[in-house]
Amino acid sequence: MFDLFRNNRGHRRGNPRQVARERVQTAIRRDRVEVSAPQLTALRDSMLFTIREHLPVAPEFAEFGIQRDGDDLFLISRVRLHQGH
Amino acid sequence: MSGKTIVMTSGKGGVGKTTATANVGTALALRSNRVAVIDTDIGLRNLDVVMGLENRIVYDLVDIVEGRCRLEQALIRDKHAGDLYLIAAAQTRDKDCITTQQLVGLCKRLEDDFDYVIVDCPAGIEQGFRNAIAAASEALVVTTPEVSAIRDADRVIGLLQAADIHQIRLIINRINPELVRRGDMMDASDVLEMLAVDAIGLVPSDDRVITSTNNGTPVVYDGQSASGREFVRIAARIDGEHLPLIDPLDEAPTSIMEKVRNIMGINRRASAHV
Repeated sequence: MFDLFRNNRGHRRGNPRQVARERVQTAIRRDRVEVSAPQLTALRDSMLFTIREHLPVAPEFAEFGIQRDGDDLFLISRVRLHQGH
Repeated sequence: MSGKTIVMTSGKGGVGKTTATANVGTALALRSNRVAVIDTDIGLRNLDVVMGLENRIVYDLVDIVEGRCRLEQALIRDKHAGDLYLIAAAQTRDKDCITTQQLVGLCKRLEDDFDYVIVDCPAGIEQGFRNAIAAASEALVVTTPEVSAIRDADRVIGLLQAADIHQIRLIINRINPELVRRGDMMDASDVLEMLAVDAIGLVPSDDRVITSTNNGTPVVYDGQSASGREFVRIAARIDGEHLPLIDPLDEAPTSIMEKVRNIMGINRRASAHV
């Protein structure tokens, strides 16, 4: 679930081919969501902005996902705080 | 005659669209087809120089749609490739000076007289792109095995599908077998898996493309060029032949002796594929 809007710029493992593969897959996945659901994307951006206003979020880690519960749809975020907080 | 309009597009610039257009167009003409190639990159034309026809331009695409010349006057014949004609883009105007309807009308007129109309699309996804794809029933998307080119190709494929172009095939250009073997470059299967469209050609990275472009002679005339041979096969596939895809890794020399043979022009594997 948490790989839908992945935006991880941290250290990557693997050879350059594997790194390139992972990066382009992530970018394509993100692009497809942004194109098909621009309102959802705007909601995600404002959600991350709000979290960052109040919490010291590590910049290289912010993931978003969607969870459905009946007729309710939840946009869920997972962020990593800077060490020591 | 009722020909087919094919757009050559990519999204990202510099991946080899114009080179691919010149070579596929030439190879199709060498197979006895009547072919018209149109440069729609208004303001940044280059198909004329790649084909070696830059000194023969009198009228261009904008002259046709604005009625300053007849269609026949703007068609520049490539004398080396049988029935191959170029319509050059205007160099001193911008992409908004022609409309989608004008380009569609032009392609429909050309389809009456040619087997293939190949439209060289400008980079980007703005008006120039929308004009170029409007008349096409098929699209060839050119990409390279690089992150930015693949990402842009995916975006363009989405836009082509939204424009009801469902015959979309991929040309993966500049595959470097040595980099792929070392694990430093994505291979064709990586790209195809991500973009989820069929490939029509896997073109190896090839220095001979640079020299052929410098000379204004498409690389399909060079039998020693691995990329030239692949463009010939792409044309055959467009023309309906069922040729298997050849991975550049299978064709590239692996031993020092094989590399020496290639440099000396004694390429056994190459001659077997021509």
